[in-house]
Amino acid sequence: MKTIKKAVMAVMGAAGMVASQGAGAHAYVQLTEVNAGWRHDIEIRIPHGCKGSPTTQVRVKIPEGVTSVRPEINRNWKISMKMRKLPKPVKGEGGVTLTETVDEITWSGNSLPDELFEKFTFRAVIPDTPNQFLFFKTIQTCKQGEHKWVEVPSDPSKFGEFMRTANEPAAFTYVVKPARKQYSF
Amino acid sequence: MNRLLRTLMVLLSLLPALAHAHAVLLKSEPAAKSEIATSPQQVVLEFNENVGPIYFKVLDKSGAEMPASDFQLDGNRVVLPLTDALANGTYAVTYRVISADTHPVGGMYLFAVGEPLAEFSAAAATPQQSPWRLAVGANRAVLYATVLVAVGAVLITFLLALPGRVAAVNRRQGSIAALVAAVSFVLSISFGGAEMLAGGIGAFVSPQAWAQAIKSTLGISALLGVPGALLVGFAFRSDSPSSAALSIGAALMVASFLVTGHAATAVPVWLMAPNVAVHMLAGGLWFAALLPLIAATRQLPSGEAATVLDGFSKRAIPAVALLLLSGIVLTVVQVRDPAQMLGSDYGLRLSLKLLAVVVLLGLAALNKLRLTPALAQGVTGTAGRLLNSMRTEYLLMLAVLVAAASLTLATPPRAIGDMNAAAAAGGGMDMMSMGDGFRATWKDGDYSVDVEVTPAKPGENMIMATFRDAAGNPIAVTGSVVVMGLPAAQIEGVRVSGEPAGPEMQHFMVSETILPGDWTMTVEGFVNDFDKVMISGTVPIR
Repeated sequence: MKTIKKAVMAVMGAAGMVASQGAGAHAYVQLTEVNAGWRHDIEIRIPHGCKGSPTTQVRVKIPEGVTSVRPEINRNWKISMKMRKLPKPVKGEGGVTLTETVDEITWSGNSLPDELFEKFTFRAVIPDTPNQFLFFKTIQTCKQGEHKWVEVPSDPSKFGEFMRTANEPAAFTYVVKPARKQYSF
Repeated sequence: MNRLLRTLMVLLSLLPALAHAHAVLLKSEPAAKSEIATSPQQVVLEFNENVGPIYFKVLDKSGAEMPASDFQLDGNRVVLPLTDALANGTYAVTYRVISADTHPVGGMYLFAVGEPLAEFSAAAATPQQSPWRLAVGANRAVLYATVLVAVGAVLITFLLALPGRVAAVNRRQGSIAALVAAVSFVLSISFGGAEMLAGGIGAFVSPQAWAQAIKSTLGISALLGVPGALLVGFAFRSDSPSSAALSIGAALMVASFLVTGHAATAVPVWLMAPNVAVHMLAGGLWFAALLPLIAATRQLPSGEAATVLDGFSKRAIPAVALLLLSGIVLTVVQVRDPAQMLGSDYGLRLSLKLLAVVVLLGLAALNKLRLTPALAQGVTGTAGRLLNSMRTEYLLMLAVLVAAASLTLATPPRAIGDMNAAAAAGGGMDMMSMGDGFRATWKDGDYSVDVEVTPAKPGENMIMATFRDAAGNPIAVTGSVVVMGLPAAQIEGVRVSGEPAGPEMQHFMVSETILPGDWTMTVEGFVNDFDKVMISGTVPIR
């Protein structure tokens, strides 16, 4: 009985999460929550084309504070990265000093049909800024037309209203304070 | 156990439906922007997926809902049966449906029955009801009267040799009129700004109202008019006023009328501006002469008075001829089609003005041809009759000026014609400000947008928008879109894409604003690939 109840709650929770992401109609992040300061695998999922037209390019903007970005290899798409200068050099993996970080990742050179979805994945370290939303602005270009999932709320405290009224909201996740440090891997 | 399982099944069955995108309107009957010969029996909306309608209405130009039975849902089609046939005219279909992903989608489009889709019509160009409109009009009448008297007094000083006491009357009227004109110029900024912002009672002292007005042609007009008026006003206080001060001051005041207003800025400017100047000078001479002539008739012995009157009428004949000629040129350019003299709002006001002018001419003729000679011959009672006639002339002059000032509140048929031509040509014309319309600057965070809606009346509207950064510098945007809605009539989601028009200016033509009311408008533009600026405000359409 208890297990079934838990299962129902989980399903309802999932449905709620999916619904709150615009029900998967928009470009979205697979993780609804991420831990502050942790390294996560972020998937930007593109569930649809543009009014039926297949997707030919996905361009994701890495927000301020997200570092150590490393896209997953994807043998179907051509991956290119655009860099931006860091305000202050930081120590990276293996003691190397980094002066720049990834600003944008672009996946191109293929065609994703409208009726299928695809994940565009990269690893990144989440900034240590808990209790706020993190937006991954995404430009989805299709054979005909494009969707610019770039709208962000002007008032972060009115997020519900933003989700109800936004036309093309950016893909987002929520940064929470973790209970423990991440075991490095 | 069974209950829980069933809930689970329902939830699981919903998940695939949740994965759909928002509903999109694929087509409709009647189609958007279509013109059909006879009234449709029903309106049909067809979407790309099953939808749940929230509302679905057909509105006429006044915003009234057309009678219809309940809408019928047929999978991805929603049908609204109309119970009464629609009369000829333009209608708005407004709807809101829930997509399968529970996100509401709304929209609005126009269609016309039995006539072309509504465009600007002379009937639509009616004056606004805002209280500031009246203040602007009243102040403009005061401005016309005082500037004409001041400029006329200057002309009289140079052209007529008046005996001492009469000349003093002229100087006094010139001084008072000029100083009041200076105040009136300043008030035109304040009232004009308040009207542009469609503000409440306190608007005329608000800094934004002043800023708006100063940026418009009212600002340049006042910049010329106030110093000009002050020069004349203070010069006339001396017994022998400086000719330089008088002529420069008068020139500045005339110039101030040439930089603003329908007539002086109409095309061709090389024809219109000089005609406005001639019209002002001739009219000013006539108007300003009345008080000194009345004084002459009262205070001087009849022989001398008759001489003064004669001296004036010698100058007056060419002046009146120039007045009428310039008036004809201005009327022909502004009204174009003679039928519009009675058919348009502007034309009617102009006709009233011309009627008063005809009566004035009659009185002036009477004075010159009958009463002045009679005065010279010393016929008793003539002075009294002359005084009555001239006082009546004075009142009629005021009526003419009020009618002339009221022209500023209407749109000349020429301007309406130009707007229609621009709309037909796809809005590529560089439009000059008509003096009508709505202007505002809205801010949101680091960005602001200057918005200009012309003419801000029901019907088709042209929107010009300039985005600015935090420092106030104009910035270029791409992919500009204007999203409009009228919550009071349940109209939303009217999206119109913009075209760049000149550096950093975006241009939109919106035909859906056929209903009056407070429309909400969001102007969107991409300042770079990833950053979309969206700024909202309210536009009064009256």
